[in-house]
Amino acid sequence: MDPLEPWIDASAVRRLAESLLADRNEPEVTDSPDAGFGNEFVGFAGGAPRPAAPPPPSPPPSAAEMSADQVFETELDAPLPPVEPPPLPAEPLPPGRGPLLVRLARFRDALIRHTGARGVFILDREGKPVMEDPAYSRMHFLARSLAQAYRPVAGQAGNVHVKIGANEVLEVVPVETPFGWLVLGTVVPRPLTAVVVGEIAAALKQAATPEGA
Amino acid sequence: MISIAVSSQKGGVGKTTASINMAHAFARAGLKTLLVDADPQGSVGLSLTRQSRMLSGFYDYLADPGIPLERLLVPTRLETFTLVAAGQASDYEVGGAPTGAHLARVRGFMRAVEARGFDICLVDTPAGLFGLTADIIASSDAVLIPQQAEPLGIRSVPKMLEGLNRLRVIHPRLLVLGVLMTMVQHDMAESRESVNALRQILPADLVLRTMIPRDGLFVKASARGLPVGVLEEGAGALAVFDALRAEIESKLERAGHPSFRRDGSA
Repeated sequence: MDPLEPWIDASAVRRLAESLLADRNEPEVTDSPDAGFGNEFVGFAGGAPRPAAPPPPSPPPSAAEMSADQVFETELDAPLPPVEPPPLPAEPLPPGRGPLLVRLARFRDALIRHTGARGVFILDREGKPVMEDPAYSRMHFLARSLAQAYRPVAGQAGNVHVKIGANEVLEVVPVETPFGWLVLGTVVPRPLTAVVVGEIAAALKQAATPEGA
Repeated sequence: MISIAVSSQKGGVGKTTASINMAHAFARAGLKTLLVDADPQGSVGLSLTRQSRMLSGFYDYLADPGIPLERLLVPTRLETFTLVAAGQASDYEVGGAPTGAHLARVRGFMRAVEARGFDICLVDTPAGLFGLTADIIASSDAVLIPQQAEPLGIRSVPKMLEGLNRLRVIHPRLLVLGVLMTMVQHDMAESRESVNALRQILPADLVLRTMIPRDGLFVKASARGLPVGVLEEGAGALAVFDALRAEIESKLERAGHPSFRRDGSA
């Protein structure tokens, strides 16, 4: 009896496993003690963290005297100044709005106009591209991963962002639309404000909504 | 220093038992070892110290930037073995924080641990590969995945692999030490078959040769607040975790981890 047989796609599991063993040809991070995002990481905007629990009322017993060891806070905790809310109205679309891809292309053009985005792509909930941007196709998996990690607050648009270059931030905005969950990935010069994210989410939702829906 | 997150997709797979006894094995071998209880259930602390709920710990460090690492360190009778308990603020953020929310703070913790001169830091993480656990893995050099040797546990393997692949996107240098089969029952066909099936389906490098048997000794050891290897009748378990330590060291050396030295001269 093979207890795995009915439950697991052996070839898919093997592929996943082998990719874990593959050497990633990523540049060695030698100038930073950090693993992971590196010092350029500016944090996640999605979901405000809960307030910290208050510290214990009295110093709890410690095994050793306090040392001079201090917390190594870095510029990681200093977020970049957010972009001022640019006007990004959900542009009224003309009658006869055309097929989905045409509407999404209009949305992309408006997004680029209003935010200075250098790249825009949209994925479905499986991570498959609905609208690609060849210059940033390497970002698809990251965007999907970030979107999956993000836990939306009911009724609110949310986003997750990560700095990917000197003046480039990948903003990931998961949006529920009549077309299903879409994940917008856009590469912008600076993190977007919550207001702008809300407008973008509304515009994408409108663009993905079929005529008459 | 090498930091290893001990993480699993599913809870109740023997992660804490593996963490405690593996840390004990590294410490016995002479490495300055820090075992961090990042599981909000605080099982490491509850297993090893009766006062764990009175100690400041990892979650307090996350919650309060003013706490120095030194205040968290709990020495043990073995000079090379030090603990950090989960702490009093361990209900803080349980299950609530999105991935990335604590990344900077966890990294700060790892830097402080390294600066304190530890050779190895093992972190017993909460179950699941998201939220704080993902931040810990993304701040660690390597990850070890205990997996219960039974069919239901094995069925969670695809999700575990997907989770690790996601984490490798944000931490490409993460070394996946592999799956550690736990609670293996050689006298039970389903347990044996689960082990065999997993070994067939996964590449050999991704399943550790060493396996942790299900043994009542672990319960006894926990009741007495000790690693199992300390018990008089614990020689067999000691040998298992020594073998696990040697296998992990071999993997780290093969991976060419630059800051890991077997002689503790990291």
